[in-house]
Amino acid sequence: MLLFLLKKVLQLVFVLLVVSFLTFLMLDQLEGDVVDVRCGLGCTPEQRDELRVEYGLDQPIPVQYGKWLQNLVVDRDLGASGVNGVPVSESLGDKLPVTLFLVVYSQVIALGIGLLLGTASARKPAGRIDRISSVIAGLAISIPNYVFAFIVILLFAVTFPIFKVTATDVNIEVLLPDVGAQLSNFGSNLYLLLLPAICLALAELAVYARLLRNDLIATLQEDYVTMARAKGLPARQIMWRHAFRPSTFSLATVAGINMGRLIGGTIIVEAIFAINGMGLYVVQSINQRDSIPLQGAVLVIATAYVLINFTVDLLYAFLDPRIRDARATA
Amino acid sequence: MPPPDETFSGAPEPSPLGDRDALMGVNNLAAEVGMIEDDHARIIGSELAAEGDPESAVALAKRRLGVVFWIATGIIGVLALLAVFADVLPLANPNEQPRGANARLEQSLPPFSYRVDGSLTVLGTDSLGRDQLSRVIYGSRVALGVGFAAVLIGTLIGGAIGLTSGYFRRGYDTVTMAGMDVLLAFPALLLALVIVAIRGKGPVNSTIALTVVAIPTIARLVRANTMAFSQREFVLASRTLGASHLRVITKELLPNVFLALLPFIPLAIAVAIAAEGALAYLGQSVEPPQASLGGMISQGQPQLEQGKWWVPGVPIVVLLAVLISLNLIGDRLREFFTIKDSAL
Repeated sequence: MLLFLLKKVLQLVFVLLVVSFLTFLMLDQLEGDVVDVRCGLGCTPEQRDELRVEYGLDQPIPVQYGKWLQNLVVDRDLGASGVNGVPVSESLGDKLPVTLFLVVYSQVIALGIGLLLGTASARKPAGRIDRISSVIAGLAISIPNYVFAFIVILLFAVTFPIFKVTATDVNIEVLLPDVGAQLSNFGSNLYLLLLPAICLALAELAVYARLLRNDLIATLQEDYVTMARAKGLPARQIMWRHAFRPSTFSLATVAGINMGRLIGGTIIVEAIFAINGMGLYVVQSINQRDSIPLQGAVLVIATAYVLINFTVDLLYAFLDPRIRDARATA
Repeated sequence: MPPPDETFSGAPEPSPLGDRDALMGVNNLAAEVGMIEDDHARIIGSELAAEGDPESAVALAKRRLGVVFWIATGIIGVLALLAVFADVLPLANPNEQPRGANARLEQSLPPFSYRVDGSLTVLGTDSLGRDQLSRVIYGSRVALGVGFAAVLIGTLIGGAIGLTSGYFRRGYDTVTMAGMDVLLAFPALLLALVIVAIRGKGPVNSTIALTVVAIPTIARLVRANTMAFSQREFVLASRTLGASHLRVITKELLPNVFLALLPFIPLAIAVAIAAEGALAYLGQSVEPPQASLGGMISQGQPQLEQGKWWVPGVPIVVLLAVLISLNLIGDRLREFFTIKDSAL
């Protein structure tokens, strides 16, 4: 087990290092470097050279990378935007909570509806509910979230203006003085982000429903379930007390991995609803050819993604006794 | 979780879901691929079990592809033909805006309405008064072209990587899979965005970006299948008879692995097309004024908010028709090649 853990950690460190180097290298290649962004049109060649020295662009790539990594690890400094001079770490500090809120919110919606659909259709495979929910799941998986967003906007923001088209006002305040203010802040965020969260949750909930359905059907065919039926236990009790938990291992894993994937998925949803999160930050930086914020944002997203996948992998090994024991005996 | 398949027993499996994290096509759409991979394991496992089964009515029904499959294929086929022959079809110029005093009257027209000069616009006009029908066809050209090309090249490269690393294993496998892991460390849409940002906009660069995104998923899928087939007797027999590695890979493994991969290909194309749409929505696909489905959708957003839903509605309907058709084709192929449904 310890060896397995060590191997996993080494793998993690390797991937993180390569990812950080690639991020650095990729964005170093971005056409129009910081100097162009800072200068705009008016710069003498001398000023350009000065700026190049200021950003360390005159040095070889490995040295630049070393410095970048050192700044990052020691000072948590990711540089500053070439457009408006705002430190990247400061912007990320504002935007990361918004994206995380959105991700968790949509995950809760997806799991809730997915569980409902999954258990309902597993109760009677190929029954009416199962067939309807499988059609819903099939559609939900085929529809990209940016298309679904349009349907949702048309329905709930234009035809019936219950919600707003944009969620620019989202503002995550953790340090509000009293509980009442915190609650009202939380409530308004829930309200503003409901449509974006639903769009993000759509594909996930279909996946969860299908996954849980298939695993539940497999579990319900196990001998011990037949035994429970023979004993005369009510169907409800068999489903929730006996079959549900053993059927949720793959659901738990996929849900965990999806946390990382959702962070990437927010890019487009944030662009549609004008939410001030990481995704919009990435898109804006690309459009402004502002490579330093882009570097920081890509690094943070990729790191979060790798770390989440790593944690899920480990958790899975601990959660499922079959795997845990297989590893222990191996 | 069904118990691990017996044919997999020889192949080390980090976790039954280890390859699930490989399955992260650009849109969340690709999550479905995870289930497909499970099914592949089942296909392989159930092949032997199905032998000798009397052909039931269900099995017979499965031997036909069915009406839905052919309708879906027809939709894709017609759109592909329209896209290929867009230049010779009698279409309005997709980038031409009406000029003069009446230009404003011709903006955001609903389908089947007439321009000021009396000409019919079958699918209406966009917010700049451009013909939606021809824009949608030229946009589909980009979407279908990029989607098919990216998956084709991705399958060639990813397939080669997967076949060789699944067959040879050892150090080569470790190195290639580490490379794939690094590619998978970036959320797919982010990776595609960054590649386009570096290389510049345009259909060729979108294709390159989406190919890079597709390679690791396909490579891991092919590798998993290759490992399973490598354990089978016919591969051992071929080796014993003195076949070279190249011969075993091309004559024994490739046909089997390809068949297992086939249902996945339409789904991968759907993922790539949705991703191209996402890039275009974010303004990172083709340069305006060139039409792309995602670009038309994004330009139609203000119209949607004014209640003129048909402006973004036209490209959305076309995109959905393509994606749903491809998904149906993939699902049907999967059922078609699954001899026995072990989930039920």
